[in-house]
Amino acid sequence: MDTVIECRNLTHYYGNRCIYENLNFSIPQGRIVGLLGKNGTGKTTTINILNGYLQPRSGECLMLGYRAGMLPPTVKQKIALLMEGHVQYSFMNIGQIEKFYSAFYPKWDKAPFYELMSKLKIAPSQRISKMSCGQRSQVALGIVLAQNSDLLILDDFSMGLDPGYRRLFVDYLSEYARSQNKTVFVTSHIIQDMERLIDDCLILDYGKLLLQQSVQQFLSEFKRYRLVSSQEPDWRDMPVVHPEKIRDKIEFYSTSDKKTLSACLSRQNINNQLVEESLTLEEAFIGLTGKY
Amino acid sequence: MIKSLLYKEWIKTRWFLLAIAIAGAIIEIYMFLRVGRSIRLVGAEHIWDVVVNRDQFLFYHIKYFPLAAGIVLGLSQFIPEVIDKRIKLTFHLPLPEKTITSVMTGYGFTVLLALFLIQYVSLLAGIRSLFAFEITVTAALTLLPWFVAGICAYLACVFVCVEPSWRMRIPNFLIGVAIIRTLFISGFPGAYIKMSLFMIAITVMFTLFLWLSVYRLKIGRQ
Repeated sequence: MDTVIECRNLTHYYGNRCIYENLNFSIPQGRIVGLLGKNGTGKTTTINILNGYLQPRSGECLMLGYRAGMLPPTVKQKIALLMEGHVQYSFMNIGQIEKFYSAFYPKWDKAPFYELMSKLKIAPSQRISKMSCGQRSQVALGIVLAQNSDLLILDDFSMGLDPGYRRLFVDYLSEYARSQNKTVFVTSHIIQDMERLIDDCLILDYGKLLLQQSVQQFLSEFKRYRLVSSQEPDWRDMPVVHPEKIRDKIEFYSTSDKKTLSACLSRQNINNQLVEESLTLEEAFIGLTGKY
Repeated sequence: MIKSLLYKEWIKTRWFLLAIAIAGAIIEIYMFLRVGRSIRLVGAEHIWDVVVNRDQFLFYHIKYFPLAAGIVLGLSQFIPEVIDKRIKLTFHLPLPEKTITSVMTGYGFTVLLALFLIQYVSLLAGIRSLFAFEITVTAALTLLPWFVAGICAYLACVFVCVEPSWRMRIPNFLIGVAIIRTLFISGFPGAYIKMSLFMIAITVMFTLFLWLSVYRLKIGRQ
């Protein structure tokens, strides 16, 4: 499987603040990959580096085999970008923006654009700046889809959208990307939408990459466990993350199975009526990165 | 692609260009009505005397108009690009960044130059219909730095707007103001006769400056 995006030993700082050090990841062709992380973990920074709007302190990124920031126009034609906040040329109307972009992309297909626009109750002459945030998101998505690019990069697509528009966006994008075998690299901090969309997740924490895995594998391995005990276990001996004890209720997350964890608790003479819970992606994300 | 890029610039600027053209025409009409009225009231001999012997320039109302026109066009073209960092979208278009910047700035420069040429030539034609050739030449040289200031103001706007960091925009703005100010030091008719090279030099300099802003934006300076 061809690699579409590859970041090698990426390190970036804003002043003295480390965003991440030696970040390595790659995105294979045909996958929908979500870059997840809390605010300020470097999601948009990564997108900016990939698009050449930011120079990392060290390391390099390759997109479709070319170094980020040095992409030839023919390669740029294969990469569609949705900027954070669904930024588009808001001084144009729907007809003008379609006419404008169509000249740049040889595989331009206006059908998905106008199909999405038909769902919006707007006049063709209405300027994008006069549209609601949700309507603007559909215009931006329509443009990204119409470019018919091999790689779609979407930065925080869910920002400012109500649940209906988020669902419309995710369903439309998911259907499009899977049917056309497109590679999608998407960032978001609203994780609940991502579960319906992404195949693989990259989870960023402050300064580092915590995980790169398929969503299916992550959710099948990473579980939440609960037990009731007045004694707090010695967590140092246990393969758990973010343990929490409130009164006699104990909660923790782990990729280890219930049998292993029960054995650990037994060794500490802790009553372990351990309850294993499967998680949604959002719960698993919070479990892995912590609530704070 | 270039045509499409020009189409975008046209959409952004068309109403502002119309406003600049109308405002320029109104100012010129006003100035000629005023001079014509003076000629009718006090006689052409007196007006000629004022112009020739007292070194008065009668068409000074247009002095700051090209400056304002350059600023308006520059802002109308580049403020929409700067808001929400929309220029990143523009630089993501499948064209080399140098081409994109050249086309955008070239568009503004060309339409402004065309507008200024029309205004400048019509103004001089009007002056020539009322005054002698020598007075018209002096008027042309008096008006020239003001129109050059308009072109420089446009380029300075690009230089300031495209600069990605606010901290650097302030010195860029001050540099722009200081250099353009030199074109308004004297309003004496024909004061800038021997400074045509200087005027060309500052126009070229602003063109180079704006590339500095584009470069800083491209490498992600914040």
